[in-house]
Parts: sequence; C-alpha cells; structure tokens
Amino acid sequence: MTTLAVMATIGLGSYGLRAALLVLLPGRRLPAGVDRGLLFIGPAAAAAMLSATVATRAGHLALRPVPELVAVAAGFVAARRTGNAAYAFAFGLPVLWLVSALPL
Amino acid sequence: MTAHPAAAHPAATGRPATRAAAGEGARAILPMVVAVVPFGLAIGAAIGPSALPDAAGWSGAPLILAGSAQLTALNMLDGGAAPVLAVLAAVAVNARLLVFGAGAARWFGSLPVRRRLLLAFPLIDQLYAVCEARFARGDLDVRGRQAFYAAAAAVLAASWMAAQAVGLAAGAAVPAGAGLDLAAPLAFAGLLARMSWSGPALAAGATAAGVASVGVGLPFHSSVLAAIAAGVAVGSALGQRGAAS
Repeated sequence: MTTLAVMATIGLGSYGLRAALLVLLPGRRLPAGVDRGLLFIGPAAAAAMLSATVATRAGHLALRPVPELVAVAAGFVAARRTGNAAYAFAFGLPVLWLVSALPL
Repeated sequence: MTAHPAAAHPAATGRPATRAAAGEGARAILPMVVAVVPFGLAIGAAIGPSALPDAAGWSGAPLILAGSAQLTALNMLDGGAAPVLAVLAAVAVNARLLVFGAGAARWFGSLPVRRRLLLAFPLIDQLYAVCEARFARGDLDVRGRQAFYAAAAAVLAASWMAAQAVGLAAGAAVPAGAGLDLAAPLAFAGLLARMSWSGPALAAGATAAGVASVGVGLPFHSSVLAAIAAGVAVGSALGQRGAAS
C-alpha cells in the first residue's frame, strides 16, 4: 500500500465519519440528551487534544519542557482574555522565544 | 421619538443576504486560519526529512483535512508501521468527526442529501467551532448558514493546503527554535480558551484532559476518542442534574 493510498483511505474513512450522521439524521430535532451532549464535544475535544499534545509523546506520558509549558499557558491566557484564538500564537510564540533565551 | 437607525434598513434577503453571510464566514474563520497555519507549516516541514515521498505526504492535506490524523499517519508510516495500522490509528484519531456530523445535522438537516454529502467534506474542529458560535445566534436561515459555512470552509482548507506546501518547500530553512512544533498545543489552547466555561463544560474539559493523559497507552491512539466520550458523558450528566435542580 503506497503512502498516497494510505492517505486516500484515511480521507475516505474520515469523510464517512463526517457524513454519516449529517446524512442519516432527520435534521429536525435531536433527542434532548444528544443535543445536550453536543454542547460538550467542543470543550472535551479541545482539552483532550491539548492534553495529548502537551503531556504525552510517542505513546507515553511526557511533559513538554518548561519554556513550552509557559508559552502554552501564556497563549491560553491571552486567547481567554481577548476572546481570539489567534492571540494564543501572537503571545505564546514570543513567550517561548523569551523564556528559552533566559539563562535558567 | 426617532426610530433606531437599523430599523430603517430592514435585513437584506435573498442573494445579498447570502453574499453577506459568505463574507462574514470568510472573515470569522480568519483567527482559526492564523491558528492552523503554523500547524500546517510544521506538518509540511516534517514531511521533507521523512522517508516518505513529498507529494504523497502532502496529499493528506486535501484528502484528510485534519492535521492530527495526518501527522499520526505520517509518523507511523515513517516509523515503519504497517499501512493498515496507520489507517486505523488515523481514522480513530478522527472519530470525533462523527459527532461533529451530528452537530452539523442541526444546521443543514433540511437540505437535500446530495448537498449534505458535499457539505460534509470540509467539516473539522475549527470550522465546527466557528459555525456553532455563529449559528447559535439563530438569525441565519439555512441558505445563510450554508453560505457562511462554505466560505469559511474554503478559506480554511485553502490556507491549510498552502501552509503545508510552504512548510514542505521551506523545510530546513525554518530554525529549530522557531517553535513550530508548539503549533498544535497553541492551537488547541486557543480553541479551548474561547469556549464557554460553565461548570459542566469545565468538568467535561477537565475529564477529557485527564483521560487523554492517563489513557495514553490505549491501542490505536484511541485515548483521545475515549477522552472526548468521557468528557461529554460527565458534562451531560452534570448539565442534566443542573437542569433538574
């Protein structure tokens, strides 16, 4: 199986996941329990991915270096205070460069 | 007493309203574009030094349209994993898309099946988050929602593919200390920071974060999927209790 075939197969599988409920659900009203659950997908998915990218590496628990943790925390606070996700980068990356340059 | 200025200009309808919604969608997605471009650059820069063919590695950008799954597949293939395992792991990482589809059914459920099949293609976290926040206001009809979504998706997808192409081309020119490998955590931190922080939502996030770390050894990179499921279950349970009391 070539790399291109692998990418195409993953793309097809991902498309199936995207389309399945969008096409199968009647589209009027979801059951109340499902509707309530959907509210929490966003926070749960973002927190899970944040945790997975900050606290794990190559299938093991492993925290990123301190300058990177400080940068992510700074980016989070900046995005929270401004309500704009782009500020996570605008503040996070300069903080990373600054903290990395400190003679710790 | 004078009327509010806005009252003298009733909301546009038909084509102008659709065009306005498309423009709004293209603008609303820009913060997410800023967030995903470094991630795209990082993935592109990672393809170059790997043993995989450049074009085939990059093809994941338009075919998968999901960085974490593409990166999972690239890492596994480059590490010598069997292609079938790489496919299974990447699709498992993308399993959250199933629930995004359920959410999008609330917006587009009245459209013909063919149209829904088309709209499903670009559905991804950042697009879902931006649309969910906008559509919750309830002032766009289905045509407006469709225009907003399609424009936002086009801008996001084009930026994503371009970023990976630039990362692939620039590759070694990007200094190691630039922090591109921090793009993914920063993107998710920014996304999380913008979300509603009700008690149940906080609990959902905290639960998901804990399960994603503790369950890191689960097979097929399924810890993220398990974490999302656990977070949604806890948030729903607490939300239901709050509504009942």
